[in-house]
Amino acid sequence: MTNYERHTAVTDEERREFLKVIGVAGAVGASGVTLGELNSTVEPSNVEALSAVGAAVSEEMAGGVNPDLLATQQAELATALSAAPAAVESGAAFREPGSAFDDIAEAGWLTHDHLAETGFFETLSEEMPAFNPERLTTSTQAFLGSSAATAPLTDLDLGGTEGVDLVAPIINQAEKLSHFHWIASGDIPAEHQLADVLPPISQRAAGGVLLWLQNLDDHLYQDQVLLNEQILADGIWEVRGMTAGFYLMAEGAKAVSADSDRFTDAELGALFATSIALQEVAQRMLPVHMHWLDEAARDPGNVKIDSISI
Amino acid sequence: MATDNNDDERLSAAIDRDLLGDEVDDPEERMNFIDTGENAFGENVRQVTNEVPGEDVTDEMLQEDVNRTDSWLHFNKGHEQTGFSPSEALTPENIDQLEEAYRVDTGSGGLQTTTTIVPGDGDTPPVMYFIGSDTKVWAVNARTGEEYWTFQWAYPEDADYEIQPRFRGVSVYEDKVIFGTANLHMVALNRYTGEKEWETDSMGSLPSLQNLPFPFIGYSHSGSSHVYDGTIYVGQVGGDNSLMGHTHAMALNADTGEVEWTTKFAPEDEWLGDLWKHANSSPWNAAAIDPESDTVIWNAGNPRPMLNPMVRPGPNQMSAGVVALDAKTGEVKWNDQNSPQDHWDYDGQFCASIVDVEIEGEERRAVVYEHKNGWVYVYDIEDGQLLSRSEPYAKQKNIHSFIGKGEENSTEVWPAAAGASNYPADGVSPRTGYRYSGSQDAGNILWMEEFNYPEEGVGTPGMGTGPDGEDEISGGGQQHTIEGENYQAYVTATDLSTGDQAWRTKLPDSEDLFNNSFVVYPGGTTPTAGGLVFSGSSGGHLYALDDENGDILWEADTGQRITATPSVWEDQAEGAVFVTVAAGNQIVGYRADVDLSATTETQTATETETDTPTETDTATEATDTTSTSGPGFGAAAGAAGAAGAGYAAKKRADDEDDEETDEE
Repeated sequence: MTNYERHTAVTDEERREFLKVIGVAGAVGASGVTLGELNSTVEPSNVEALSAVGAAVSEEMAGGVNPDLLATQQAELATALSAAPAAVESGAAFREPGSAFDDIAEAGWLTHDHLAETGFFETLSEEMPAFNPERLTTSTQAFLGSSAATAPLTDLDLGGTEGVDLVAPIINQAEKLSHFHWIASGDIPAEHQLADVLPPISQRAAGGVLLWLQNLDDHLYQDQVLLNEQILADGIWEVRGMTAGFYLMAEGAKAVSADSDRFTDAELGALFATSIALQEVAQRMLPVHMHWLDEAARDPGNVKIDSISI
Repeated sequence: MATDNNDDERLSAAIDRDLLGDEVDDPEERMNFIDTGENAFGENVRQVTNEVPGEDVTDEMLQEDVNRTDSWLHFNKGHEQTGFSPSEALTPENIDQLEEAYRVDTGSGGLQTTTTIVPGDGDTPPVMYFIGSDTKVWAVNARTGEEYWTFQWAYPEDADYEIQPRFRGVSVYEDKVIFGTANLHMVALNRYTGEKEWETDSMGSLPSLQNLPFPFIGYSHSGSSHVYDGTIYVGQVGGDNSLMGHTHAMALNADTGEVEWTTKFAPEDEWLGDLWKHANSSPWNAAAIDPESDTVIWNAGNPRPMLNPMVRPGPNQMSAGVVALDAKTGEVKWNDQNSPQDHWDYDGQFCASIVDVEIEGEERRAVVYEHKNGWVYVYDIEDGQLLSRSEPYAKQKNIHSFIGKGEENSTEVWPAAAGASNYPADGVSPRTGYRYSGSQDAGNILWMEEFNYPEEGVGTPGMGTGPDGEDEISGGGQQHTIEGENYQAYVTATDLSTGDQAWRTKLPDSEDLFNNSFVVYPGGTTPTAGGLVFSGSSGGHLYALDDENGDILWEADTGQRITATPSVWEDQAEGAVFVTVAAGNQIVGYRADVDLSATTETQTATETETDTPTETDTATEATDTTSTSGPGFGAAAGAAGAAGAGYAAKKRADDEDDEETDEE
């Protein structure tokens, strides 16, 4: 494991705030809390809407996607993600234009294209209501309260404390997410100028993740003069979040297709909501951390990486 | 300070007639109306007073333009677009001899054209070519301003698009003068007679734009073309408000107008689904070309919808940055985005300069430009690696911040959508190693909308058509004024060796454009070997500044807004140096009869670099490390590595040494 993989971009204060919103601030400590602890502490509630989403997607997509293809690509995705931070830490990413992050995208595009062809994104986007803080709180609680739903994160070495931090921004930035992102596809007016080319919202989340990833190697090489340890560590954290969200989405699609009983309808609805929200919030934060770099971000005095976790 | 319009009266009239909220059919009813003159429709109009004297413009002349004191053959001087006049004739000591010599009234306001100067020979006077906002090309005696001929391009009488009148220059080659039109045509005229030689409908070579619904609002060849090795290079503007919106760079055979290649500036595999069709990302300014590597450097404009990034996921390649193309094939060599997934209308708006720099003792061929976002960037032209980014050359606030949805969640952002600088081309001086940026401190308030797009044909982004100076533009809204703020224009010198700001001079007269107060930027800058920097102001003054400290040494009032870069050139036969610049609806020529002998001795690049004295001790370190390998451009910038190049790589190397310790 590289130093970058020991770093999260979530502060103790942000974690405390997150735990407070999901209703477990008094039950667990803010420092070192793990997904496993939250699995047994968080109490999902008001999951009827999530159940409806899970059930509807299951019904419409049953048998519609290829679970073997998804599983193969998930494995490739996990392998590529585990290799990428080392390319940065070793310096390889800066010596010549590399492919470490493009490899993640490459693994993802087959999944993306398959899900697009089978109508998965359209179905999911039609069934899932627009994000708002209340809905995101409900779905995050349901996700965290389910060991089945959170289990796939262990495949990405994100099953412990990192898994908690991975999900925290969904809550901490719920207002922003509802502001910036989610437009239920059915709400797009037919006369909208882009209506004929606008992909379903869930596809925009997944596709956006892959587009950012496939450009990251060039960015690291070309723009290394702008980067410092803090920028790299925070950026890689968002890469892990983006990839984890994509991975969870594939996990849900795989379960639906295989007619699996691994998840209840509510768990499935929570898995989908969390996976899309995670992809969205992480890809919004990636350029904040790694691309839109102002003078403060480049100031050596603002590099606090040693005091955070590395 | 004069403009051609009475903004308050126009605004009041528009409010009274309730013209602000809805589509306004008659452009003259808009408060942002500029009297660009009458367009021609149906038949081209050629008027000949005299034929132009002189010889053909050769490839050799185009190649040597960067070093010649008597020519200005490319948009911003030389294939490399350095914006630098090697004339030493005007100096801080004799600048007071520069006086107005003539004015050419064009009848077309809002001129953005540079003046192209074909040198004379003996009794043959130099010839000036330029283009008006009414798509009229002019050939005049550059010594006197007397007209030879004009040619006005005629638009179709039944055009179903809105003509966006912005043209920034013409190019010359052999016996031709070449220009683009606002309906995507390229046209070559006989440079002696003004007769049309050929025309090319660019749309015919752009299949991905065909069969898409009209109107094509703002689809234009507004930027100046550039001729290199018998090929014309021209970009395209895509229209921020137009439904359509993907764009191309093009190359055409200069003899025939035949299209040699086109390159789309929105790679289909870098956008989700078919969103690339609406990507915009226009190469809308003039290209710089490196003859050493056959590389064409272009700006890439903002993605579309302009203020709604949520419907265009990913970084939106290749928008809002710089693109390097192979001159022969149009293939993308490399590109970089300075504001990926742009939320703020931060086009790559620049005309880049190509210069030699020295990085940690190693000479590099570099691309230099100032971006709308407020930094000066320096890239290695070979592999597109960023060598340095300067300290901000303009005020930044909430730079690259998210903007909220709905006006109630708006965000104040500096620089404004008009940028810290805009299309006027800037220069870099081998004398000082400085990049001189015509810049502004101006902000705006932005917000995003989900579906709220304006009616086609309403307004132009950045023009503030609302009663409070706001725009309803593609995917969002924009308030131009910020309470308590008074926007100002500057000339800013950035030391390329360190990325530090060497000096910054506020221009005394910043005049906002109509009610659209975030457009106060100056015309471009023209540094000279004589130690001056010329720049025109939005308030209508042409200034000469000291290139080392920014002191204003000379000024002249043109009476109209200056929004183009001055050309500085010598007329050897007359023993005079001229400065010519577009201001409002006029071309203004200034002349000084000074000793040209020193310059006459330094006609070649190498000699210029060798002979140019270092006049003061305050010249930068870069002057001491000047390299001479470039074709005529003394390498000015020094160790840009000081600005952090290779930090990460070096850090990695350091870490490798400590690897075992770290792992523990």
